[in-house]
Amino acid sequence: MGFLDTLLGRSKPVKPDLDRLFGLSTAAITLEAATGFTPTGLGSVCFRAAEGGAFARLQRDVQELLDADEGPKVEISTDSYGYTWILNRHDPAELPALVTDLHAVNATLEANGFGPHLLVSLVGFRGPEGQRLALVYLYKRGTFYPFAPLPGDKRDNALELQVRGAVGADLPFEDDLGRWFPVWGAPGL
Amino acid sequence: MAPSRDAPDSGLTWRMLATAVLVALVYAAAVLPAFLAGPVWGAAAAAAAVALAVLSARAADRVALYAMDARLVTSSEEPELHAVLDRLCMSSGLPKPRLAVSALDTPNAFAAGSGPGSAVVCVTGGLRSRLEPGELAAVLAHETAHVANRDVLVGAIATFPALCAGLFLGWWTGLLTGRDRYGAGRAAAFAGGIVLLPLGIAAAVLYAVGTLVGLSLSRHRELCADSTGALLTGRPSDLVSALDKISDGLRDASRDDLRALRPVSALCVVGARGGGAAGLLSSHPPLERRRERLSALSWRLASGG
Repeated sequence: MGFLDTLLGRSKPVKPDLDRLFGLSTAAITLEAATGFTPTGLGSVCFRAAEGGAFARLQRDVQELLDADEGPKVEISTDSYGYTWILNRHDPAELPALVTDLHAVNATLEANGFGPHLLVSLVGFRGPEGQRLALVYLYKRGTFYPFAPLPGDKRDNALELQVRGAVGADLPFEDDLGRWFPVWGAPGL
Repeated sequence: MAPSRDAPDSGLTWRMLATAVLVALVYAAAVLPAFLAGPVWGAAAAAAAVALAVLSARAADRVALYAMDARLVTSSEEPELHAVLDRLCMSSGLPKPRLAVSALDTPNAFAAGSGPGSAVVCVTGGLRSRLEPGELAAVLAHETAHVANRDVLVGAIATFPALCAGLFLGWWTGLLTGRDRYGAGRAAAFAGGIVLLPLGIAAAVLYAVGTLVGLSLSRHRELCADSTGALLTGRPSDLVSALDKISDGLRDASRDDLRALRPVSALCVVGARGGGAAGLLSSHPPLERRRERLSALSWRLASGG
């Protein structure tokens, strides 16, 4: 942030790079080889619905866009903090299709000027013993991090670090562990 | 048009620049007498002024937390508040500030700390009991915006000369009135006070001007934080209703609670002293003005940009 921006009380957003999402397809293959985790075919996009008619119209457009192809329909839900989640379902083997859909939702919201309201996109994985894992894309930073919830609102930090070791080279990973924000109860996890 | 985090507003920008120039002038006025004594003294005074301003900004968070009787809370103690803050940080791209909770029943919130790295955001118990989750998020977003804009540091730097001048004024009037001094000492102090008369007058002027400039800057930064925060959540109306509830709560607050808030008043989301007489003597813009600007934002979002 520049001196002038500090002086004037402004802060500039970083330019996000949505194409990084496509890296998930290769990362999933590496992840399976290294840790045995496989995609669940579930993925979701989280954003903060802005007030007013413009955003409501846009949300309908996004749903229609995704419902248009032959696959199962998307599910839209709102969590207890007022954030909207768009859940996509695909066949677990079709990860690239899922990633394309997630990219489309992000791109549509971004193109309509609601980029600042995008929070995260995530893709769900299951371990050999049924452990849950998500690779989370932090829109504002353009980085990925793992989130592995355990029963009782705990996180499997060891597994998360192991996942970083496995796919850290395939994806731009979030360096700051303080920004591996938990996404408890996210649809698609 | 894409809404960006800073609401483009050239009028506000110009006023802010003008205020910044005024702050610089206040600093110049403070160090000028030392330059009259010689360039080395002048440079030393300037360096000391800057160092002290930075130091005071660094210590401000601890003072504020102490004044509000607040304590830092971890995410296992306050999972809900942390989740709200987590999400704001995710959408703003800021590092997560520390979170503190104060037991005060007066509804208010403040941010302290010199920059995004070391910031702390504090909410009072009264705020949490009175606001809906969406409104609470709006208030936290306003505070997060202060952190992003480094308002605490800027504010501390801007008001520092006035603070020093105020301290000097106190000492000088003590000399003149001869407080706690007797006999010959009192006479000597009085003589000293007379000798320092020009400096005393200069300090009085510096104090008055510095305070006015600092307050004016604070009002501008509040408006900026309002719009940045409202764009962050995408819900200006939530902030409006939160501001309404907080000012109602402050009106009903007990005298003791208000006194507890006074030291951190300038940092709070709604000023503790309220609008009252003085637009010029208030650290926050009037509620009407904030509401007006937020509704304009609301309208912009509703019409699609």
